[in-house]
Amino acid sequence: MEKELLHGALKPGPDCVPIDELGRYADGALAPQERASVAAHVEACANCQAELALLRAFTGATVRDGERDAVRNGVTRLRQRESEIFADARHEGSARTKGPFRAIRPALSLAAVLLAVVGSFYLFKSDAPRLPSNVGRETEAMRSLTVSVRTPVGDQVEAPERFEWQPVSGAVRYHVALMEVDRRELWAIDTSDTSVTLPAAVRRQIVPSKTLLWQVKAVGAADAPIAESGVERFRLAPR
Amino acid sequence: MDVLSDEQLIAQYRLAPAAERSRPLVEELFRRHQSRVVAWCYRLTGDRTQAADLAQEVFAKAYASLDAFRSDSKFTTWLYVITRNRWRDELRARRARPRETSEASIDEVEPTGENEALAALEARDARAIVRRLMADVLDETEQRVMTLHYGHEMRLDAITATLGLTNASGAKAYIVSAKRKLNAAVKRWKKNSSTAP
Repeated sequence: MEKELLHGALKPGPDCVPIDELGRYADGALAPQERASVAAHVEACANCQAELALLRAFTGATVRDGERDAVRNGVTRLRQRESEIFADARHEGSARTKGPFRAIRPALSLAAVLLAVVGSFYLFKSDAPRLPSNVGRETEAMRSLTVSVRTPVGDQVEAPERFEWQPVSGAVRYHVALMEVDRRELWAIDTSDTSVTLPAAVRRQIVPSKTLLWQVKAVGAADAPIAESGVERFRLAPR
Repeated sequence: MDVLSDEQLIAQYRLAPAAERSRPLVEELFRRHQSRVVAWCYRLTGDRTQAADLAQEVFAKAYASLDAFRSDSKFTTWLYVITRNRWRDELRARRARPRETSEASIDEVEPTGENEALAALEARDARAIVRRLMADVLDETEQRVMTLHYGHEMRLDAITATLGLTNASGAKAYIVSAKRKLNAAVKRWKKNSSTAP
């Protein structure tokens, strides 16, 4: 009963933004008027906010420690099946059915297997996650796009004393900013550590029910940003 | 090739007539994203075999639909949309197979509790009331977990993994806490409604 009631209450509504359009909104690819309309809906819609949260988690995904084996296994299998993938696509009605690769498919299959073997060598020759030498921008992003924050996130019983996050490989310093909900910066600091202590004057600005934002950016040796966290929200719980 | 962006790779691929398109361009494009897609599929399914199968379907669909890619979007976003839609297709297919209904059901790990006020809401009022009270009393993560679990019918373990929740009980703890808060808020709302002039 409760489950059905909540499902009825929380399922997406007819006015929810279709996922393709939501993706273009996230990419900043909508025309200004369209963008304003979508923004107004998203601001008030938990469903579209949840969809955007998943999209951002996907685009900022890094392989976590507990999933390395599964991902390694899955990528190896994908590379072994590359011929099937392209064949499956042809079954879906692609115009490529009559392409010149049909005649040399066995050779391509052999090439795919060889590539998988070579790729696996580069990927897994040590314990640390490695990538092939011909990786592109996105593969690099996969490794270091996101800083995972530890605390604070969500409602807090006490005003937080510290901001903490997970280390990022290659970072020489972290830039931490505390902001109002309109993104106006209240306080910022650079540190080489993976936590900072909030000064008393800053903690005094954390009052019950007031939502604040914070973000960490990891900066590499070339003094260029190499990763950043999402903009995290927290507040001191209402009293 | 490795200095080209994803979108530039697709543009180059499209420049050639369909019969002469270079598959290495697409292979390079896909290889950049294989780890991302497999990791995401693993978070959704919790199973490495299912994750590899789902990822294979995603890339096959992406290859078949490459002509539909709009160059004003990012390829990663487009790939997410395909992944999400394939996963939903898979869930629908599972629900249609009776033997697998319990596996796909959101009941499997449904936290139970005494939320009598919440359960007693009239269905016709529930949508507006629940949404308003959720915005008032739940924090952002609680709202998100409730919406994904009940509104989008995502399993709790998939929510825990995709949102990267690191607390001991993952999404389940957020559901229990959210329902408790929501139940208390419904009680207050009923009390105020009954005493209003």
